[in-house]
Amino acid sequence: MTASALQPAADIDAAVLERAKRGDQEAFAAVIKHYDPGLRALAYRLLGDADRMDDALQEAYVKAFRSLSSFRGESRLGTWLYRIVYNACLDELGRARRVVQLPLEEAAEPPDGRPDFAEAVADRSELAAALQELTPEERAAVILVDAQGFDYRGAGKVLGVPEGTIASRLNRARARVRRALGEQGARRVGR
Amino acid sequence: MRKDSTHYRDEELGAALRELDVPEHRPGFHAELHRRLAEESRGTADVPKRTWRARSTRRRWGVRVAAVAAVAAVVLAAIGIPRLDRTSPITGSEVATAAAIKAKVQAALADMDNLSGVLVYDGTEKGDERRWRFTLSAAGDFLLVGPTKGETITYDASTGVVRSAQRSASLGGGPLFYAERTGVALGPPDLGAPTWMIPDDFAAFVRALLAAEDPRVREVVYQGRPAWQLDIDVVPNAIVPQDSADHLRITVDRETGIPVRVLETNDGAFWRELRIEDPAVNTDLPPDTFRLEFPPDADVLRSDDGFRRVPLSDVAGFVGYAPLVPAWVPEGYELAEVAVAREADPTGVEAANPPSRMVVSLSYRRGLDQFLVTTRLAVPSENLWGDPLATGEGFVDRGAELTIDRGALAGEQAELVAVPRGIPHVWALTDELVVTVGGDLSRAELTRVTDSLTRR
Repeated sequence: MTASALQPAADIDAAVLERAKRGDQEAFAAVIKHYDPGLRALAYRLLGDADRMDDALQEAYVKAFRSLSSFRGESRLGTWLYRIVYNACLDELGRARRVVQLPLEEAAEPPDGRPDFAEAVADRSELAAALQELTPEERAAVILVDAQGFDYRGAGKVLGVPEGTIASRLNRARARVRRALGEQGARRVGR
Repeated sequence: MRKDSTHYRDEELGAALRELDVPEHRPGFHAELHRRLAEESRGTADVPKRTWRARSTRRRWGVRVAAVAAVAAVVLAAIGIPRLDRTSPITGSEVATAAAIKAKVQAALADMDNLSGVLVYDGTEKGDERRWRFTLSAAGDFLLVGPTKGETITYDASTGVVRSAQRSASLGGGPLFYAERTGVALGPPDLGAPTWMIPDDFAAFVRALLAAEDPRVREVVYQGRPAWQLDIDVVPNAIVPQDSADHLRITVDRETGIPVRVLETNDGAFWRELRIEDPAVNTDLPPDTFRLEFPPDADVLRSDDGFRRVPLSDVAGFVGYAPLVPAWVPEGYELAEVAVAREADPTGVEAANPPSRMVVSLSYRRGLDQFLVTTRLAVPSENLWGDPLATGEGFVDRGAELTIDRGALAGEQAELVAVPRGIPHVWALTDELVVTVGGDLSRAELTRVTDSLTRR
């Protein structure tokens, strides 16, 4: 996906949201569909694995459905959802530390046969690898601000930190990504 | 208004990131989600009961918030009172009630010039403990040092300047990043000085304490001093209830009636602890206490929030409308500062309100107590205006609608919100303005101040 508008320009229609808050599954599905591309991108960049991305999103979406009735209408729904997904990803990352890793030969082929997307796109692999060198918090900051258009304050709301912290994370993350790519990589980024 | 330094976006990197592939969901993802949602729906039979109980509890607290209320600074302030002689102790066999404690805290705050101490935070993981040395003044200044060596935040209320030297939290250290914010707002609903750690958390606890109708009280000894221990049930965050306390145990110094420790638990398990150590009240502070000096070669990230301190008489000329000024304030409160901004960050939960334009903020202080009266233009927008001082995601505020009886807003509808985790406030949306009155005021005081607003 090459989404140039991962973060929807506007929140979901108020009537749909109201139905979703009352437990209407179809309306909730519409809400999720509206935000899913950006949420998927965030989750995948944080987790680096398609299955774990889906696991985290399942948990996040169910939690959002469960909590939506308490969501106030004037809030920015997208930010609220992003925060839930971000927290679910952190939970997933934390869980990974307690999971026994499969031997390489068993893990080489994903269960559904899907390719590893980062590796499949050879000319973007350096950027993907550079991203993986960042902490999850830094990765989330650059994804939200640089790739998805959040402002510092909004990103701070999602990540649960002050915007000054977002600024410092971004400074660090950008510098590390560019350093990891080197001059050649940096030119590739600018392509 | 911020300069590019806090709005800068690396467009080149962003474009490259957007080019990276993101997998579609696995086959069956949506079917699985629908199945799980259906299970959730079937399991909602119990939800209304839980919701009702939670709301009922919050309403009960709201009623009690009354006289006190609580304030952000309260907390902190409160905590340091052990050496404050002007506060008469609650002694002997007198029954400890929330009302008595509340009065104690209020009296101490109103009399305090400054408070220093060490704030200690501890969480569930080993190594979670963090410590900050802090100093607060009745003028609103603060100094926060820590948690690692060299990290400092200062706020000079008279100039509206925040200076900081902080490390990247995500890296767990690294070099210090230097930043200076000028034109900082006087406080909520606009983004004031970054004191979230102290005021927000501790204020929430104090509010919970003061608002609880019937906290369970026990007499204990804490760090060698007679103390009260109060147990209070609170409503956990609606989004992540497992990551939020459902119970507070607050230890209050018996001599002074001040909270010195807050223990949060979730389902009976330890969740978080905040405490104040080595409190000191009304000490002599060096004149440069609240100004951080940067190293000469420091690369400083500078930004301007856009608020300017002005005389009250200059406000109308700046914003184009006569400011709303209370003709009545509770005893001891005085107008401390006036600030205006042509444009400021949006307010409300997730900053979802329309843009703030032509903002006027009046700060009234009484010791470490503060309340603010703010107005901003009710600019038309696709977004609806919501409560500028709403508590935030996961916490659902239940306010009381009221009609303003007198003053410049006579006949306007308003909402009075007094909940444990938020700032007690009244807000109103008129054809012209969005108005807030919020801070360390009781419900009755909030109403009376609002009724007394006049065009000046």
